[in-house]
Amino acid sequence: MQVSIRDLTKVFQEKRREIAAVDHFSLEVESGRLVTLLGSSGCGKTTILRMIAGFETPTAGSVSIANHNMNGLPPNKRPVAMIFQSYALFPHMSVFENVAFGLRVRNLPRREIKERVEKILKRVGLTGKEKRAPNQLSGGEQQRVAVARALVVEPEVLLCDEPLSNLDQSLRIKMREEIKRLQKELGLTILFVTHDQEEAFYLSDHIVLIDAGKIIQQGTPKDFYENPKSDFVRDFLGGIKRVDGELVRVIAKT
Amino acid sequence: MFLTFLFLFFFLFVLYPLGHLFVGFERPVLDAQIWTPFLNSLKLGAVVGFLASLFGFVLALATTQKKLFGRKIFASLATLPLISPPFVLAIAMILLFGRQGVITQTVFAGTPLFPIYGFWGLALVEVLAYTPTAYLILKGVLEAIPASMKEAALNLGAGRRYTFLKIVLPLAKHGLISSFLLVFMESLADFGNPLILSGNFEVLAVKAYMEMTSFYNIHAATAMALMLLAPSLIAFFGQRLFLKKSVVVVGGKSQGSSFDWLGKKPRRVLFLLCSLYSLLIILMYGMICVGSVTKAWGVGFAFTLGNFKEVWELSSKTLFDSVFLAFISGPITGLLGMAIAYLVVRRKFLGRRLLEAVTLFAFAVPGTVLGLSYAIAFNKPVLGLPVLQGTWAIILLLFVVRNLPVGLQAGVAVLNQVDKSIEEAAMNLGAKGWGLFRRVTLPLMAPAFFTGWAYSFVKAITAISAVVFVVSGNWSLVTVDILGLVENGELSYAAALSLILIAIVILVLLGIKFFVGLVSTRGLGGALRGV
Repeated sequence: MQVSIRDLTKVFQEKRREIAAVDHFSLEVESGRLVTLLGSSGCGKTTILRMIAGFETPTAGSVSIANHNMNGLPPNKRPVAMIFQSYALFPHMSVFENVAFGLRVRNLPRREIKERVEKILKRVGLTGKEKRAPNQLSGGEQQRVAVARALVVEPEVLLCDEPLSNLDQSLRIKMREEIKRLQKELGLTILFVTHDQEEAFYLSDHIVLIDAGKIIQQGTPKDFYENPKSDFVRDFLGGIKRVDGELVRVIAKT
Repeated sequence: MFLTFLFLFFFLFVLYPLGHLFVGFERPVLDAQIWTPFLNSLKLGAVVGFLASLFGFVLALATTQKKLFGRKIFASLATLPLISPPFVLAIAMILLFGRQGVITQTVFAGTPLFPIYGFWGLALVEVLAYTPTAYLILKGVLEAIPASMKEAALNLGAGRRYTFLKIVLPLAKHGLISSFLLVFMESLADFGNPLILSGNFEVLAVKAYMEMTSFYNIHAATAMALMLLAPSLIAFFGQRLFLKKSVVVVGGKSQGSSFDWLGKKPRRVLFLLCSLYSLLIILMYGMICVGSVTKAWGVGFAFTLGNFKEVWELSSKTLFDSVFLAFISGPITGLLGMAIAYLVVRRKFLGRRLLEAVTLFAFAVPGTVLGLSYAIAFNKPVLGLPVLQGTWAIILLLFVVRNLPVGLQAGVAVLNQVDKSIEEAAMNLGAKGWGLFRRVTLPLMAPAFFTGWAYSFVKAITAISAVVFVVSGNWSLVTVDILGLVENGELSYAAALSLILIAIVILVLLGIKFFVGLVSTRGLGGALRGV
């Protein structure tokens, strides 16, 4: 398994009250799959992602990536890359320097850095904009820089924290198509956090619906449509109508 | 109408007096005796600017770490010098390290550890006095760097040190430069500390004062004032330029994060540094307390409460004058500041930028320079006004003009946050002009008003550099009294009077805070950063 999460739990202390943001969460993700953590805001999906990245310490449970246990490893030692909701582009660096950052940290030879950055910028369609500063780019272009910066370090898992939520509708649809294409072409393993069920359905091989830190239902988009487990799931998915009644007669069989 | 009044006000009380400096200027005055203090002032300003920014950065880094033990205590101790006259630290310095100082007598058997009267003693005291300025600016700068920046760097494999050097430091760079320049300006303008401690190390602010009051040499005094004005103006506009350029963060909102990016070891180092700094501050102010209850410092070290009684008899009138003038300067500064902010931000009119520039200009002019120009210009009747020199009005005017820039900036900061559509909604419902301002805009700007008030009060009651030129027998101020006591070697009295002054400031601030619940050091910091 590329990602293996076992009984992951995070308890926050809030005014002497203990709140379990994530409650015994377990998940297995195969290599080359795109798995979505779907849920409304405050359901714990981002906390799960941040525990995988190493920004939060789990209260209990474990995360392993490519068969290595991640517990206790600092964020900079983990083979993951994250695309932030706010993109978190470094404002004092050019597009090229932003993308090259992760490679420079790894002390790669100059020539290799140049080659890899140019290659990935070409892939996301930013050739020719290497010298721009982040604030000279459009929202969509900033998004592409964030994607390129994460992909260039060739992570075992790509973590996406609602990366499309700051884009307008038409751009959002375009960018999610591109993410899907990149994922297929490069065979990426992606954990994708979103609150948008349509986005989840379009992108995912596997959807995990979360509420109050627990898994409500998981499966392929098809599973969800054909067999929503509860009214909560139906409500969350919105588009599915529940029709009460009784099957009386089948007119024809195909 | 109101605009005409404002422009007339600034013309009469900023440009007109400053013009007198140029009228009195004569070239031959620019000889060797002016270059030494000029270079001394620059050297002192540069060293103090650098060290205060360094200290301020360390303090800001520490107090923005959520996991740092005692960070709130460090933060309040670090800003303590803001609410006392800056030269109180000079008094503490003498009580500690002077010839009769506690440490000199007990630890070093009567030989001073280092010559406190001169460059290093003065630099040390000014660093402590102006670190709060640097701290407040840099705290704002560090808080403006989103947590996700550091997280992104770590996520891409960068270590903590690399993240600090390549992300945090570059993003704080403009803030650091701006803090350096602002402290540099404050050091240039400082009057109280060098008067007490400079010894043979002559600086411009004190020298100009001496020329004016001891030798009645107006030419020399104005020449020195102009020499002081030039670097100060350059630093001021440079500082505004750099602050505008600082951190441009792109791409939407970012979440608050509890992630501790700094790590345990650096945090321990920060804790240690902050503890040392706080100890020094406690030692300094502790000495003021000890000094205030010691009978005739240096003669014996007997305990007494008589000092308070003595200074009360000597200075209760100036104390009341100080509190009175400082207190009423508050609402005037607050109201004027808000009104100008409203005009500058919300109204379009010819001379809008000019109005803002002229208001801010008063901040760029060192207090000594402005005070000197007032003393020269208002020594005679102007435009039918009676002679202002020697009255309470001239002191009040100086307070208002000096503190108005901060009131303006506080107002601008608030207005920029209040959505214009709120006022448009009110207009849509039929409000207009003054009614709109009074019923809608003014209540929204109340926090800025009280920040302006509190700031003006503190600045006015602790001020010395400008007002020292305009006080008179009838209207004097407590800071001038304290300086006089120090000059006469009455350190115990000076300490006692300083302590009373600090207590009054704290009481009034608590009072304002209690009644409004809106004034905070955050507001003060925001205002400081804006200027």
